[in-house]
Amino acid sequence: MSTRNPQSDHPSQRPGDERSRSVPWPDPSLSRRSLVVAGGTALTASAAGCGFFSTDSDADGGGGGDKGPEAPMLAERVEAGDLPPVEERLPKEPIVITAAESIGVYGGTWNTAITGASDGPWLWRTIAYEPLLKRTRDWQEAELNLASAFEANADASEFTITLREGVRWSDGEPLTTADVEFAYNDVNLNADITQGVPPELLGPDGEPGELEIVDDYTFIFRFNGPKPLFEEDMSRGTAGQRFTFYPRHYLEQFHIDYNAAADDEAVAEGYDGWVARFTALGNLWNFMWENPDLPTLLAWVCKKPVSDADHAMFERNPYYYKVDEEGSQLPYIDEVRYNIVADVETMFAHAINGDYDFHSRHFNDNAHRADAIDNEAAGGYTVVELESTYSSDMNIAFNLNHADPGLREVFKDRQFRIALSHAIDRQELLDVLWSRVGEFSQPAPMPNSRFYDEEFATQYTEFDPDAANQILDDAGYALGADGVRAAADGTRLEFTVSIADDSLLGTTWIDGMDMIKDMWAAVGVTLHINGQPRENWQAGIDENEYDLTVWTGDGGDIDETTSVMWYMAAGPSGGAHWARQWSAHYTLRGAQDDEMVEPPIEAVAQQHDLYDQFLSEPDAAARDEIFRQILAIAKEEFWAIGTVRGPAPWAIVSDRLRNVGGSMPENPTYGTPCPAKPEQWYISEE
Amino acid sequence: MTLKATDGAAVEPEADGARATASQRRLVWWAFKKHRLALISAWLLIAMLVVILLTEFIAPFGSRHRDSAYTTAPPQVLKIVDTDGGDGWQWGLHVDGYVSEQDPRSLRITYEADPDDRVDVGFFVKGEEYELFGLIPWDRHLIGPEDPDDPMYLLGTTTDGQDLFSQLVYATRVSASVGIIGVLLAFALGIVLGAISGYFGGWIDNVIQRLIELFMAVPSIPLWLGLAAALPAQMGPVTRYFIITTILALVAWTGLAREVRGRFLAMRGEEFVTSAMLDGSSHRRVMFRHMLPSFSSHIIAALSLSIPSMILAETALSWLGLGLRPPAVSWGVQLQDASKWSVLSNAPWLLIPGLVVVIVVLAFNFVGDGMRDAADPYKH
Amino acid sequence: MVKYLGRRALYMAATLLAISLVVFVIISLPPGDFVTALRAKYSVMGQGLTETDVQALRVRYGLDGNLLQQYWSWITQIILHGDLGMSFEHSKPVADVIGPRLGATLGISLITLLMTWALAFPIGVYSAVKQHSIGDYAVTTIGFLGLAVPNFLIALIFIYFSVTWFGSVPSGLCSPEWCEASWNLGKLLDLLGHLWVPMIVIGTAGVAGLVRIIRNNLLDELRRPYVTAARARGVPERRLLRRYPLRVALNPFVSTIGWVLPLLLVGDIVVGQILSLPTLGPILLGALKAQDMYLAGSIIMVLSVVTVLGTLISDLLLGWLDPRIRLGHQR
Repeated sequence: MSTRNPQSDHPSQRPGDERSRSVPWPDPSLSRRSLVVAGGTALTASAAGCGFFSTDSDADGGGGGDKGPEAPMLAERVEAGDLPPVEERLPKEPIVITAAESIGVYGGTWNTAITGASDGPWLWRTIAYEPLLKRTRDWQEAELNLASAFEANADASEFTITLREGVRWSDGEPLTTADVEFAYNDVNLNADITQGVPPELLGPDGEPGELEIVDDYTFIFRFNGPKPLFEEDMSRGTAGQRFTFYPRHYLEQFHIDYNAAADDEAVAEGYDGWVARFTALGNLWNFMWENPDLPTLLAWVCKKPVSDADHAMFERNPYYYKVDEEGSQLPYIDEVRYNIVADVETMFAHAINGDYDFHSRHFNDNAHRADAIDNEAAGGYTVVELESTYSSDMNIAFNLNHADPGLREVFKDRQFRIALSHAIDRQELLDVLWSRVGEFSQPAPMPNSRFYDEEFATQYTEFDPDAANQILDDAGYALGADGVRAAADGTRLEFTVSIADDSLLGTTWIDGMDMIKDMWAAVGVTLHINGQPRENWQAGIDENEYDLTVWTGDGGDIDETTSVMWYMAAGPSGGAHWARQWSAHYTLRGAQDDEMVEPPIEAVAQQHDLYDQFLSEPDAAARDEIFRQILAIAKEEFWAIGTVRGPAPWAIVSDRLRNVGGSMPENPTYGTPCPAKPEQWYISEE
Repeated sequence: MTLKATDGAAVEPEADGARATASQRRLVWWAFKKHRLALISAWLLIAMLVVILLTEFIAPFGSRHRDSAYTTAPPQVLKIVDTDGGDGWQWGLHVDGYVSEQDPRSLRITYEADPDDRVDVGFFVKGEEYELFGLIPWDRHLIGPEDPDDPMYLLGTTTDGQDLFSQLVYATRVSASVGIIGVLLAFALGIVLGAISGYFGGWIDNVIQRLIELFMAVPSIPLWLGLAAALPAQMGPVTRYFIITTILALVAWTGLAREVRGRFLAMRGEEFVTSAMLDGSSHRRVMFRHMLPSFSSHIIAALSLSIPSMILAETALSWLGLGLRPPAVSWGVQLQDASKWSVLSNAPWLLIPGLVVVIVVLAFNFVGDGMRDAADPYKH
Repeated sequence: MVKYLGRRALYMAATLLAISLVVFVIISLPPGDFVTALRAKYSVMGQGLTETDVQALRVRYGLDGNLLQQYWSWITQIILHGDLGMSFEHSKPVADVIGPRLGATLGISLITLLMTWALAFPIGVYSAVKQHSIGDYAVTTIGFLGLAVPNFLIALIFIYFSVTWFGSVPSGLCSPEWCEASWNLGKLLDLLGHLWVPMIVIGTAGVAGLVRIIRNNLLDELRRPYVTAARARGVPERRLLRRYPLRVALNPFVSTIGWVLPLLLVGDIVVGQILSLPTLGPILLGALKAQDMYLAGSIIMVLSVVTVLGTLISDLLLGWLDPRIRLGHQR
């Protein structure tokens, strides 16, 4: 596990947070079978032999005022005989969650919102974080989650994983290695269902790992070489759930290998074939939110699917495998309700009207900040500042893989990029677009990061048009009669920036680049602006049809070593915006080299080699050292131009919502707010 | 409207003698004048035309002027007398400067007028250089601050520190011309096809009618969405603007074609048409020289009634992110910027473009109604 | 009559077929296809796809053939099996996506249509009878206002005042506490509390157009010789109006069924987006953007069928109401 510098000033280490950080690896002895509830009535719990939990009042038969071991709505169902008693639903060793602030009470609804069926990210971030391992709230360490043991061999090429015994799917069926086997062999490795095996399941040679089932709860996953980061992968949102997404007992009926009639049935139901039905009901993007019949391991399960109406509803999973310190089954909150609002301004109107309990997406930008804060009292919520993890709010990436050789040579020229960075008046950008608050920044690790290098973060940020002109003159870009420079081969310095103008920061980027247009014109560079819907923009980027583009500076903190796209030609989401083809060359291991306009240059190839070493280095400290070498090259090469980092994003936290625990990082890898453990959040009507 | 120049107004319209001998144009004008709102609207539209022609002169600042010190600043009041100076009344056109304050938590910047900071304003002041009609270089502006670096924001500024009044003037040129050019294109199509259809009848009529039905049955907004999304992304704002106009025209011609066809169908049997044909006039001459002019007022009416839907379509498309896109400036783009919560709560002046759209749309409608009422002066 | 109906039906079928082709072409115009969008989605999730993977996906989604082949398989499925195809984005049959929303869409449109009529008729009659009066100007201005204010702006303004005055956001069709409840008076009132905004916003645009038609029709009728003759004979104005001119003025209600319904459905795209109505508008927009071609194509086809059917119904009704028109058709 990578550990942070102890002295790194991580903002979540605030007084209120101490408890949530104190239990990285739950001690199995904390949770006992003695949690067992005596008698038929679920409301009277026996505390015999268990001094850790204060269930005294229940043992005394008081019952009335206390919450008991399970939610009243489930107790009713037990009473009616619809559901086995809580002790039979919980695993032998349930995970004990320490409350962030206080022990909660059952009940209530967590209201939040999505823009529609395609708005998966917020659903993932709020309720779908149940991997084998889980990151602590401060993201420093991993703790056991679905796995009750996770052992690596000496060279980190073989991992022995034990599933927590007695964990059940939301329909009561036990989770066993049979599910793991099905998930791996019949879904992840099935070429009909899965295009491109997920990278976390691939060994260093690019071949999928080997799965060996030991017994009902233990399995071994083996690679052909060391993959020390597999442990880290298994604690990330989607990656860590690859083995436990697929309830075998339910999904077998849709799989052609287990049901020969699956194809005909699917066609009869209106699907194109069994793959389409299988995908719709149990794979890929929307299955968890659109199929109420699908058994899951999440704290809340789908009651009313996303695509139906103006809201989606998720209800507590009666078989959820976690308890609070008193042994009461989590989650505290009965339901999660997603209001479906396509328009962000309407969603914001709901938010400041106090209709949402926790929300940190869609509208949590600078433009909405003042209104959100002004309405705190009226809406009954607090605006909590999150910790920004984007190195810069707008990084400018020239396409170093441009199809046009003339432009490509210009963009590959480091001096050219340095000159254009000096030509940007960053204070002006801050004043106009970021409420006059923020810092100048290059795409480099942020001050909070253990990789922070002040020089890297601030080089070439001072506004100096004279220096810019000088550098361009020296580099041979002669000023033409029309005031536009041209390279020696006659290539005019005239480009178009492609911007996804409907992203969260889209308008800011458009305005920002519109301002930079004038700043660059002053040094003889002509810029055109092309704002497009996100979908079209993405298609243009993927087809390598762009001169330059802008995006947030991912990987500034928390996920420096995985979201590497601003440091080297690699990383998720198709890789670096400044070199898509070199990124594809690396991540796809040359499978697409035919399309490449030019093989990677020396520095890029060097970074690729270093990253290969990084991925297979078992020692954490040595790994960091390798990554520092990658960063040193990035600093020297200055691949892309950063601008400024404005005020941090924020979250709306309802005054009745408890245990959120204050600020947390805002980051896609972190999956804000899931590591803050929403299952232990509760609604207080006081 | 050019009729205004004739001395028609001096003649008593209701006098029988004058009425009997007046030309059709004059009769229409008399009838039109009765519709007071239409008359006022006509003047408004003429004013708009002037704005379109003299955009750079009327706008106090250039289209790229941006003032980082004043983002989202409220409108200033244009004053003639300065009473705060301390030494009595001081005459002279001016506005008060701003003092600003920023809330440390919400980061909201609020502005107030600063009576001590007087910004002198003048007419025909020197400002940013431009080329009138794209030809004549000039640097005078109708109104502006005496010192071009001073803030004079009569309608306030946008969230990114641009003068709303100047932006609005520039947007008017883009949006109003989308409407007008689009409608003219649609009319060319509609009149030609409608006339041919109605004049010849038979299978030609049948084919054109089916075509019209086809266009009418395809719901228009999805059609726009599809076509607008199909535009190559690399297209510049100007090209995009012309293509959208053409798309709008392609959808809008059907209604007029129907109307024209109906008229031609009804008129085909009339004597003056038959005599023109017997006279040996060509089909084209009969159609466009004899028949069409007889209901030109109707066409003008229909024309002015369909411009508003063009303008509104532009705003809707831009709002959906499929029409003109910033940094191009148009009414649609401005309204898209204005349909934000923060505008309603703290910057209501940014809704002024909406007001302008409403006024222009109303004006076109009233002029169209007036024309339609007046189109058949013999009815009364 | 049967012959006339038969011919109309034939035209209708031909028109719809032509529309389906046009629609399909339009939808396929934007660069890229659903797999391009999917590829982006995969890469967001950290999964790179090779060209081979992309090709396999194209085959799976039936996007590998040329446009004509795709169209052919889509249209034959519709005609032969009534199968609208699969929605890529929702990964379920298109019918399952459209079905639940069709009811709400038609419901809102019909209620809005009724409101449009209720408003347009008195305004139209009044402004025709009192032509050029202050009242005429006032009511037509109000009628036109709905047309003149862009829908998205008016919807947001309604939301703003609803929040500041009533403390609720009128989005969707129900408040959280009522969504799951069974039908009773409370739920009905809650529904009405949400319905008024889309009704006004979508409806007002139609009012202006209808007012103009009614006004012009009535004006034409009032100038006819028989009205003058009746007036000369001393028939009271009110009765004079009621006898025949008003009936003629009612014609637009019938003749507009055809085009008002689709107009309302289309107005629903913008308003549905802002007010997050569970209608077809918002998903059509999403489908067009995500290049979910069968879903988008099917929604447009449904709207077109409604339009064409509406035109037929209104033509038949008009013929029944006014024999002159029927004769005209059979010429």
